[in-house]
Amino acid sequence: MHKLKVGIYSLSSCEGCIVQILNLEERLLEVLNHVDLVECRVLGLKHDDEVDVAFVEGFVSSDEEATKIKEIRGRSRILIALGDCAYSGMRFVAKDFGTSTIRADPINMYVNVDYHLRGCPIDSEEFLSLISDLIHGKKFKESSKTVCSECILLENKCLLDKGFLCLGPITRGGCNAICIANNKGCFGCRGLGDDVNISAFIESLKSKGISIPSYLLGLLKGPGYGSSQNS
Amino acid sequence: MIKKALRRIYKDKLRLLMGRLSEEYNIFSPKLVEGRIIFDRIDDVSEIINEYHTRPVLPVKKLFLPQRETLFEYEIVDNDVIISDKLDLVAREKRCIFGVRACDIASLQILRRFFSRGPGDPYVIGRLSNSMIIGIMCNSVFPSCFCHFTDSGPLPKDGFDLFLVDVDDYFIAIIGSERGNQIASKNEDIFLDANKDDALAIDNKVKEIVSLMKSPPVVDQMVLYDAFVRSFNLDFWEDYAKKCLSCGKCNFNCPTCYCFDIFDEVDLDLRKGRRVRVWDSCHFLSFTRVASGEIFRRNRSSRLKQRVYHKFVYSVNDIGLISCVGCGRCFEVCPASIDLRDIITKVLCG
Amino acid sequence: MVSMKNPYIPTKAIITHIRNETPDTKTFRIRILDQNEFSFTPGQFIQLSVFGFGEAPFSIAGSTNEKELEITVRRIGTVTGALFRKNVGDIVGVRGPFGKGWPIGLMLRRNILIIAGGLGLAPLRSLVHYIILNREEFGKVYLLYGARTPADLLYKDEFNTWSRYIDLHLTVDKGDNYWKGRVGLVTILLDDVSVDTEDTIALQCGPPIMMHFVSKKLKSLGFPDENIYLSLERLMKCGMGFCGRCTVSGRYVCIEGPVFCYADIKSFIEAIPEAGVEHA
Repeated sequence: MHKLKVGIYSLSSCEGCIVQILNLEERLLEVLNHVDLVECRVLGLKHDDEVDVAFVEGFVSSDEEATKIKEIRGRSRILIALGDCAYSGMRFVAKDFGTSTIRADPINMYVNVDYHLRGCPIDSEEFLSLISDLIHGKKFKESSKTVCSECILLENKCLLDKGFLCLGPITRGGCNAICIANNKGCFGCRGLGDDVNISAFIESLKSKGISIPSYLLGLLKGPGYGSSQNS
Repeated sequence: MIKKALRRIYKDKLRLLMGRLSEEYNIFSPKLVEGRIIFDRIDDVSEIINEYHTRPVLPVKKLFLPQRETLFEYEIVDNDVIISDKLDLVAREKRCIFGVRACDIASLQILRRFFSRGPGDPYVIGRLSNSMIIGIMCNSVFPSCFCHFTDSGPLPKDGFDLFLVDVDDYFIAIIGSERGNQIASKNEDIFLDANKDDALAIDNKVKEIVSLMKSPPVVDQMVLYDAFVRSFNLDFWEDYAKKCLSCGKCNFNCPTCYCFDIFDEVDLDLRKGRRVRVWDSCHFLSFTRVASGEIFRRNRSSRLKQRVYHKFVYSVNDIGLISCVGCGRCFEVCPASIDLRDIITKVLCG
Repeated sequence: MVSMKNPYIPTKAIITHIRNETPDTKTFRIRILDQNEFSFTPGQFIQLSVFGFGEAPFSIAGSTNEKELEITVRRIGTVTGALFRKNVGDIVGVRGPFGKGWPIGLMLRRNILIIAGGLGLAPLRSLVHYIILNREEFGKVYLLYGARTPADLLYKDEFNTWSRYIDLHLTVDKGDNYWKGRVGLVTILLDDVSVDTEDTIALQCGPPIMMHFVSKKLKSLGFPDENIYLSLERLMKCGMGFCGRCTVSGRYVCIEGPVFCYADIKSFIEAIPEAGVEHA
């Protein structure tokens, strides 16, 4: 069977998503038995030819990067946006829903994206299931759970009940509530879940005496943020 | 007054009993893990908590219908598929679940009735048959408790082998089954004769616990059913839908919510894989989405009503029981503080 | 208890024939290994496994008198995508048949009006075959079938045979240069036939919106609720009434359906899109 030719490309980023991939250690070696990794800057791999799958991390911050992402798209069969930078231009991490003047464009402003992995950084398990689906020619499906529901599966104590801000009820799951498991409130890096109820969430924060961050009010009028790739 | 056989177990003998049982059974109990109490397998009887004033976040359901379960594994060999059933693992394990509260015992009876329909679900039913249940009566109530309203507690009617009622320095052990009876006769040094006042002590304890509960006034369950049937199109459901976050938490920590998803996982070598089932939530938009993209419960209110009507109407139609056990876990964890007791009160006032 | 049969385990089966129906639809013939026959009632469904990709429900489209079973599949999701890459001789898994099919006992000696839209003809094809095999048992039989375009019509090569036994009417939403027949939604075909509404059983399968309008039209023609049957599509994971995915007002489509009598479900606010309530 033909081995998938895979490239990992970086635009403006902290390379945290790549670290998540490298953190897979032996399991990454197992993946490399089934794919040919031909480009990855941190591993010193360079390749200017066509690839089956291009993983792109980082956002577009300059015209050079805009040209670069178009060039990568031109020679990849499947293009995948890795992490909140590439997927949304860091909107969900920076909580910047159109107010900032800094150029941080999501790559889908310039090219078609076939799949995206959410989060800051991406979840390495989710990366594995995406790559497994690609190898099998299966359509990748992202989680339809909320972070809140994944949190209760771990039997964590609710941070909202303790009076801390946690965006778990409105954030798309798939991360197994890793922040809350480490006693940090969810900061919404995976974007909004399906059919979230922002105004009810604001009411719920009020009733718990938690102060309302201004970006939540902004989200009330921002339609379309975090829409699903499943439907 | 209770009709079942009673014994006395002095509290310092409980660990002795559990130690003996652990020779034959894998013991599961509420256990302290990083500051939280959860139901889990215990290796040493010293881990058993029998004096606690909190309850596991996830109900005992998770030991019978796990969050994630492999139904079978398969391997592709040439042009053939070799399937290996994982059911024998379930059937082989003898378990003793200690410290189950009345509400959770009632939930197991509901799951037993539900999963016995049709061909039966061999995983759930297999685990229920192979598990000895040692229940324990609550010494106090949580703000959300209303098991008296749903007729599921504080004393369970059936569905246990032994049920312990805490009285001073001893437990009164209610013998709930032949298996429980055998345990008692095999361990006569632990199971002492009950005093003639012990039945009365149980009664008093039940009354005390009931008086502490914030439960809606008890009504006949058919009255409740009819009230729900009449209320389906009332306006107040939209008010609840406006508050609901559709986060799905209430499904996952409900002792009777059983809905699940099934999918396949494949190893990277393409040869081996497994079919897995995981819990799912009727609050999620994806729950009713068919391959063509159609979603049959798009409105938040229709999803919220699905959950509530399942508990009080659909379940009665299906298995003849309401499937709410009055534990209040759903609103204990609800970020929007939607209190099921308020909904019930509204419906009954109709 | 220990040796309880595991109903989640599929039986292995082999693909024996694949026929292209339309650009995105194929009919697969499947033989269950170690099993000499496959008996079912038209309208029932199976769960088909493509190992590694999962399981999905499909109506049985083949004949009741054949040893192999047939399903007609549109490539639309994970399992169907994988199935389309399979070849004759490949192994799949089958569980079932599941559910309640068309009410054949009630239909005997009555007139039958069948209304199908798109892929909805699949579970009705096995019924058409059954009627043809037992033609003298039924009165007049009409089949009204609508598809998007002429290219989307399923089972075209069987139409001539069917027409010898039953009264077949076709329509398409959008015709082409060669199409000489009716253009419009399937409801318009109801104007082309005159049925005795008192002694006719109407059976329908198609998209929810089609069944909504067909039911309305049948009611306006005077059909009693008791004589209208429809087959519902829902997400079904287990097929045995456990997974909870397919319920409509608390009733399990996988065990009580997929075929329901209109009289029983007209009060199910979710079943068909009525007055914009509870539907997408």
